[in-house]
Amino acid sequence: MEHYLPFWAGAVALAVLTAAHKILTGRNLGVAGRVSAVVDALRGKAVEAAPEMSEGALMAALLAATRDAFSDEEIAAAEARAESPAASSGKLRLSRTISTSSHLIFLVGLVVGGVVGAIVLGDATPSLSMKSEAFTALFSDGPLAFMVLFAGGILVGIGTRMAAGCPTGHALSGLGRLQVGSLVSTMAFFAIALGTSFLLEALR
Amino acid sequence: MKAALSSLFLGVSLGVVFSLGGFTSWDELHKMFLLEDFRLYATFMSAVVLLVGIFAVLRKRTGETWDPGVVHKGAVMGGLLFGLGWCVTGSCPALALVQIGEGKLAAVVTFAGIVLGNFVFAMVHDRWLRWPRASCVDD
Repeated sequence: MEHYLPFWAGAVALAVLTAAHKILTGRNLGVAGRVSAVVDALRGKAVEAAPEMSEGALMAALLAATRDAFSDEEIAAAEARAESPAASSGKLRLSRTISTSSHLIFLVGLVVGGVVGAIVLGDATPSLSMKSEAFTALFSDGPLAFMVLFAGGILVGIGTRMAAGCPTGHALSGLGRLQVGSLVSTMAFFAIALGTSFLLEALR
Repeated sequence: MKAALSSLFLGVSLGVVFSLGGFTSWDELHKMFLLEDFRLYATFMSAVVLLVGIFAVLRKRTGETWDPGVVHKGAVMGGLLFGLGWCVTGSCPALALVQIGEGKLAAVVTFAGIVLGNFVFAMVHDRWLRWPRASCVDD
């Protein structure tokens, strides 16, 4: 327990990175949103793989290719010139879109971050488990454990998509921006997580 | 290129912070849910307090005005489903990936479930529900 970051260091790091995400990418931090974007790209790809492309699909592909060919800054600048009165008034313009490849790079980055974190914490040995005594005590380490993880994962996937956010999206960027919907979702997920955890321990 | 680099930087640094902060530890999360340890709550709440200030400054610089937003149709139900999955898997979409990097390879199963759940709900939503703004791509 002692070897994890003290609360103030974790808080400063999370706050700085959440803000850096907004400034660097023009988007509010939300990892579930990035997963959703990649899933949508997969679904869109499945549709585009049809043998003949309609004119609409062709235009969409052209637009996507054009966007890929130019940097985000150039596109943002062009859009700003075209439509934003804020650009002429000298205001900072932060709203931009993120490409699918950048989403994937971010998600791979999380995995790399985990490798680095584990090395620093001194336990990077791969293991087919959650490396958790409490988890193993509750669900053992056999098929039940994997079924719980898979079913729980499905709930996380449906829930974050349905609530339009996860702890990073709702609790960090959402609450930081004082969003009512984020407060509602955050209270809902903490309430049921606490209730279920107490119930699991009581049933053990 | 710059977009790719900043994505890489943000992904790696967030992964490191989640890992070093103990957010990816099933044991630490469980202790938080059982109200036995308040370090993660303190981390989270202090981060939110700092961010309220930071976002206020950013709004001033961008000229955006504060808008409390709306409560999305799926906010409560989605939050509940996520919370249930969160406390048994110890994962959210970000944490599962960090856990895989940490060598907690069982999280591969969790992440597969997350992608499947996201995919299935997106299809169900587009086919039958069509709520306004049910995606958090913009949030």
